[in-house]
Amino acid sequence: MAFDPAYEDFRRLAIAYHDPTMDSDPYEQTRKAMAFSQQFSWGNDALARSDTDRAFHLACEAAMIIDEELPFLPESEGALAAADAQRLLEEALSLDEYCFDARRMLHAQTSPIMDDHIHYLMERMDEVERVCWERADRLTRNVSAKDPVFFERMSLELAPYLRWVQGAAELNLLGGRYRKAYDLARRAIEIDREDLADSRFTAVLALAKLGDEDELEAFVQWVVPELGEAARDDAWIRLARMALAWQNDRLEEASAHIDWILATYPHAASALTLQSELPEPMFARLDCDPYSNDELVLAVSEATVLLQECADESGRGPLGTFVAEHPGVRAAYHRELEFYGESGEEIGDEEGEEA
Amino acid sequence: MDAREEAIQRTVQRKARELGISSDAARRELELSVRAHPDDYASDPSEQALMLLAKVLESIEENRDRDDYLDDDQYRLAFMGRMGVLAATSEKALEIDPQSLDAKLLLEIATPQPVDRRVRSMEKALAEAEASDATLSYADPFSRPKLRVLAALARWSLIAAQPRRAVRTAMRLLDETRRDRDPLGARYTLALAYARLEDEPGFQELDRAWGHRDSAWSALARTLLLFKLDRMPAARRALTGYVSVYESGAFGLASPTLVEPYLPDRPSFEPGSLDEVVFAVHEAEPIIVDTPDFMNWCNSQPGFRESAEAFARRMGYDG
Repeated sequence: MAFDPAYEDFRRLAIAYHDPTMDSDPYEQTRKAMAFSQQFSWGNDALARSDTDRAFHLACEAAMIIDEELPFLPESEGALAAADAQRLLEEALSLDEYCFDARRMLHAQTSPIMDDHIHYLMERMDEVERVCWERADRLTRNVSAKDPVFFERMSLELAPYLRWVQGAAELNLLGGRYRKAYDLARRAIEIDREDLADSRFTAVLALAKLGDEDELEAFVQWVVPELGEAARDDAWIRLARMALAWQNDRLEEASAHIDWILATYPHAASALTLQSELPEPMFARLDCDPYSNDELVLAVSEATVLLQECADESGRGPLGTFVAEHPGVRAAYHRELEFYGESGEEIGDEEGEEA
Repeated sequence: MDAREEAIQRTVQRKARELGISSDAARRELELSVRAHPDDYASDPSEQALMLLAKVLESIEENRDRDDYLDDDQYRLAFMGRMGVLAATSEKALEIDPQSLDAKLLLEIATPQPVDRRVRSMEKALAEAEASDATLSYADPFSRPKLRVLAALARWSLIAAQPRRAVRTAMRLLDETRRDRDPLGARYTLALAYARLEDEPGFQELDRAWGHRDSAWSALARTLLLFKLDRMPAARRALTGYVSVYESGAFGLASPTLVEPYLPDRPSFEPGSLDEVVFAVHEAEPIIVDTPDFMNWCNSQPGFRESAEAFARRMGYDG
């Protein structure tokens, strides 16, 4: 699930190179597909592309710089990398003014005030929706709905719109506009009931902030049956339910959710103790394996809005403290520290820095 | 909370009952005597505990005047000293009257601890105290401690990141004290909690019942609510309304003041005064922090900063 810029770039080209007239010869088809994969990984800049695909390719390169490199660079190199990314995004827009991923990231890069960026996304959302649907319609006009190409095209053309809506939902959640965040997340899910954008994660956190247990359970009933393979229990819904149980004095129930997270995710106690807040990704939510430690770290980071509400000098809010001081979390955290020995001290140091 | 007055009222009620006093004149005589020598008349443990609390609260109030001469470290020490004295006195009061809710409440406030724990232990104390009683009334001095606990619980719930609980508790307090025109300001906490939860129908009902220009709390809560619902033109009008009704409104919002824990009630204030704004902003703080761009937006609204600066100049504060 989630969006991976490199993979989506590959899918766009693969479908452009796909030749429907060869369908009759499976051998030839396989050979061509293999050749294409090889060509893509060896020198994909050299592959001929349309302006639209080329623009998307540049936006993906920028996304990888911004989301995967920038957070780890020292400040001096960061400025250079950011300038590179900005140039790529501008070039993308010169090729395709409707390269919405490039527009969104460029605007985010150049407007430091979150509220301005939220309003930029909100004001243009209908235009993005219209253009993405027009493109999807045009490119699938003569394709049968049964053809896998139809679905692939639709999902590729609508993906930038989904990211636009989900990006706005996420920012509204961070900005303290929970009703809006929830409505936008639902809007994204209504377009894509399989929820490739994982907007349901944002939705459940927003509902936890709104303190609305009935709506949360109704939402889960609405969203889960349509998810297909993606339907599973996850850290986001557990954190949301935990927050609501805690608020309503059902501490045992809240503890049970924490226990589930501890039993399900590797090294969960470190994530639940450190409660690190990751930088907001520009392209889309980072792609993590289900039930990996990365996924939990991401979920906990997004749940910062719950864990850090009413934070004291320690940086933790009452809920964050409840989680970090949960006996199961403390015991498991000590085990994790011992297990890591030397590196365990580093984890301890990180905690010191957080405080 | 006027603890001394409440202790006196309790003594007068008990004495009048004991002496079989029924005429108003005799009761007035009794009240005068009790008022002149409250310690001599306070023979009941609940009255003695309350008188003890009255004295410590009065002495804290007196000592506060010296704060203006202290630097930050000295102030912190003075504050911790006050809380230490308050905790010790509350424990003493609890020895005299183990049922004293006021002593329990002040002890919770004086003891450093996470606020959600404070909420839980005080809710428990209240539940134990309530088992025997029926309806509460602000006019009855025996009801007041419970109402004070409810008011504190509602406010604490907001700073414990539990706005739903704040709504429940403030709603209950408001129901109990509606006929006395909500003397503990439950509606203030309620308005802020509705803003935090983006509960527009709840807020509007409150607005209808108490009037559009009820308080700095309702004006701030309205602005926050509309900002959070992203209805920016209406939010702008709400902010303008707040700034024009409260001449210190912009100043108070732009430069929040340190407010010490209420002991145990919100101090009284003149309607429209800087005090009102300071208390309202202080109580709205968790919601403002939870809405990261709100202050940026306020500062960028035409006239907002000018209004804050003009007020600061008028009061002779540094820019």
